[in-house]
Amino acid sequence: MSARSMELVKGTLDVLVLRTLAGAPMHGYAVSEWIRERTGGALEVRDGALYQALHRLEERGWVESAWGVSETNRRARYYELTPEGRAQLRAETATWRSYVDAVFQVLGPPSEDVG
Amino acid sequence: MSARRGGPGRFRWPWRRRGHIAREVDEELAFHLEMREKALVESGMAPGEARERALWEFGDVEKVRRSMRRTDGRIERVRRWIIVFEEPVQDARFALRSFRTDRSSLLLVGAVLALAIAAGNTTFSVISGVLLRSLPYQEAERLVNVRVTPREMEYTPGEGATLAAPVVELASSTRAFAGTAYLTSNGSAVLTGPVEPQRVESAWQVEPAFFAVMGAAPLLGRILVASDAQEGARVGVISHRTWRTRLGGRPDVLGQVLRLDDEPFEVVGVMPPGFEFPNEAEVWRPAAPLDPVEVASERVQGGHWFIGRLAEGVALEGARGLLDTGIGAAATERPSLARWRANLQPLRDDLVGPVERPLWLLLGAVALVLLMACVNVGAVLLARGVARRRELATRLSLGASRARVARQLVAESVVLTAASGAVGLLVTLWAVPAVARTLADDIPRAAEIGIDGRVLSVAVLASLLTGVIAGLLPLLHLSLQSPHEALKDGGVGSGTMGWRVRFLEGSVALQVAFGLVVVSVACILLWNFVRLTRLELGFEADRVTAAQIHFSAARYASLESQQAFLDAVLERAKALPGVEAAALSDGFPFRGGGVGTAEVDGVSTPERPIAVWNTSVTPDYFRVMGISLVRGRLASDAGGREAVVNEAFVRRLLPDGEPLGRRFEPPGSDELWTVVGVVTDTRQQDLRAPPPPQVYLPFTPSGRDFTPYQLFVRHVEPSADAAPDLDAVTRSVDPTFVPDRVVSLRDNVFETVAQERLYGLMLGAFATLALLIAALGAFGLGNFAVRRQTRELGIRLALGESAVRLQSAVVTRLFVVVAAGVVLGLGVATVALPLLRLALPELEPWQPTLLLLPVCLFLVTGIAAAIGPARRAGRVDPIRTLQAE
Repeated sequence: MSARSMELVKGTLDVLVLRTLAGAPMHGYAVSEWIRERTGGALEVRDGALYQALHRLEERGWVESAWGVSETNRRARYYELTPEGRAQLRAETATWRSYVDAVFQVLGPPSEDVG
Repeated sequence: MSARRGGPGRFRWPWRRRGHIAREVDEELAFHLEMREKALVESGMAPGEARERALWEFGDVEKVRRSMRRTDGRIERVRRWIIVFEEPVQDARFALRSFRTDRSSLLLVGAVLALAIAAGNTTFSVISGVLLRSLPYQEAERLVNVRVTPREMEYTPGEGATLAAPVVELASSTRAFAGTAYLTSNGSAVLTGPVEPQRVESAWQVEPAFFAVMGAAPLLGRILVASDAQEGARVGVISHRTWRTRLGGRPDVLGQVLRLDDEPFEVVGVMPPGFEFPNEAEVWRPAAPLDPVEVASERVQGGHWFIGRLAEGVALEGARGLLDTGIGAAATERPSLARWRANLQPLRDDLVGPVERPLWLLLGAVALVLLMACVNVGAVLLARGVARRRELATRLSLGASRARVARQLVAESVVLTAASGAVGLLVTLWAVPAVARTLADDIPRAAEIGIDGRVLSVAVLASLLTGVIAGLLPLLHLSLQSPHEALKDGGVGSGTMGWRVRFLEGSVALQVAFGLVVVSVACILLWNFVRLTRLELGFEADRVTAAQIHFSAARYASLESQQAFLDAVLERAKALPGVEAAALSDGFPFRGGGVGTAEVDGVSTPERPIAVWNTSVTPDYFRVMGISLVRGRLASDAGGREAVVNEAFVRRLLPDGEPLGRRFEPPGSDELWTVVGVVTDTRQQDLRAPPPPQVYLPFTPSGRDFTPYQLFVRHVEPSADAAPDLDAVTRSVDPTFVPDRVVSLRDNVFETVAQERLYGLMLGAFATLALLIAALGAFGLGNFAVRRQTRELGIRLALGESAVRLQSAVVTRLFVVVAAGVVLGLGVATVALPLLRLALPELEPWQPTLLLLPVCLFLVTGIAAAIGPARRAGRVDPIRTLQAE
């Protein structure tokens, strides 16, 4: 695990958020926690950018939001993937995989330490 | 998770305002920062440091806040767009898809509703054109028709155009009017000049003030001026239509010299299109100032109009009062004036008064039919709602809000009624011009019937209203049903459904009741028409044709020349092939004739005159008309002063003793004539009135102005078109003679009942529609009841009850509903039908027997409508239905 955090490649945040919401509807804070845990803080994601992404995705119709009650009994805004969002997630995941594969074709298999 | 689910079934109140959006964004951010701070504190960080850290992790809070608000604002706008424009479309498409079940019945009720809407629209377009649109004259509401009647006579508005010259003079001088003008008819006249000789049916001589009174300006040239009348100028103004059709619309029309009955006049003006007052006038020439002799005579004349424009601020009643006061004051010098009474009537009422109430009656009837159609559609939708209650209940329990399901149901009725309204409007667009053409000869102002903004907006409004009425019924169903109840209940049947069935039964009874009223009115009006046409006329109209002969004063100046022409025409007409007999007269039934007072000592005196009809005829007239001689003989010839009278004359004027040989003064004569024969009665002018007293004098040309003569022929075969033959006869005697109207006596009689026929036919059409709607309603109810009780029927069949018994139960139930409707309708009819005479005063007193036919019609309809459902009940398969549960 690297202590150094990396700048996020543009456009990556959206697909991460979509992936995060693929399991169940979540509020924004839960999304940020989930990404933080998953990456161990390796990706430098500003929470503000995350919220902007959530609203942007809602505008595109990939997620829907509604007010609900959080686990701590507070009103929170929940986000949920729409069928379109799910399709988008599938498409972007595939694109990412082929992109990463292509990059590693050049760099060598991911398991080898090149550093 | 505990959040409410989103999704298409959830109804979200759409209008989030900007402040609302801002607060939501604030709340979301605050929630995040607090949660993160708390998490950091729990992991061991100091509170202040945790706050700093959370903010740092977030980035530029204010910038993000603004960007989120902007994004949410855009989302909100798109959402509103969807709610306003896309969701209704979705609802409509969903409704259309759901119409696949019950397609045929929906199509049927929709079509019937469309017809009812079209009928309503068309009727309203007639009312709009004839009654609501103001007359096409400047400040037309101030225009009045002035008439005088003897004080002792009952005045019937719109009838008996009479005018007494002194009163004209008087009226012109009161301050009641801003202006007055009298008009004299030229009757039918022959137009010559740079055109083929042709008949002009409506030519007038008018006081030049006429145009100012009407507020009319010319299209070309000028109107008449006072000096035209004073100098007796030979000038005239023609109508736009005359200019266009008779003169080919030639631009150099001004200055042209035309001849009307050989009197030349120069065209000085053309009026704008639509100005054709009175009676589709074509030519207006100046009328000479009133003749002082005429003024002194107080003769009451027909063929005149006397119109006035009320002075500013003077109401109708006020003007009447002023005129009466004027007459009273003048009567101190001329006591004979005191017997006159002034009658003022708004010009509009004068033109359309007689059709006003009947037209509103038609609209009322059509409104009832429309209401029936609405209830019918509503009932079908309600029945569908019941049949689909499990579907609706499932959707409710799956989280669809009541409002959302309600919207769906409303969408169904809106789609159905909107489609019906659109189809109805299309039918209206087609029907209105057709109806206007059909009515052209039957009601006044028919040319002004059309589709305008008012008709369109009322049509749209009516469609919307039907949508609301039809849509409310299924909603009622929804509001009273809990999903729990609907799901628990197996499907169809059980007690909670009872009120809905009763509701449907009530709606059918209501339809039957309304329908019965409409059909009863139709029966009464149609019967009235049939009764009028079957009245004994007293003459045989079927095989008789009359040709009008109108002499131009210039060519046939002397009575001898007229006599010679008429004799020759009569001889040649008799010789025509297929002609049994021919005669001449100066009038004939239903085409007018002379009316005056006959004086018989002791019975009919100048103080208490009895009106009699007066016709001069050649001896064969009675044979041609099929009038039989009852007593005595026919008059020998003109010289003998021998008269033939009818039986009514004998009853009224010579009630005692032997009529033959009695002497009396016929109308317009100061000499005594002897009764030599009595003939059977004939109706005159009005089918509704009994035959009036009648005097027949031997035929001579009278030389009275504008009195046309009539040539009658009786054919051996009915329905021969005699017009070409008769035209040929007159032309063979005088090649320059321009043939006038030729009418069959039968057509002529029926023209007088054209309005009765119109009302009867229109109501007949509405009644047919009403009957159809009621039948559909009853049929639908029967089907619904059988479907609802399928399980019960199945059990009863399984328990050995006979199918016939079940079927008769279905029929009985439906019959009871229809019968209840009939009873309700009878109640309404008993109260409402006597009021019909308000609209049509000449209707026969109302007879309860006339209701027999409508009642039978509806009862039979009820039974007929039950046959289908009953057969369905008999076909229920007990095994299948029980298994289906």
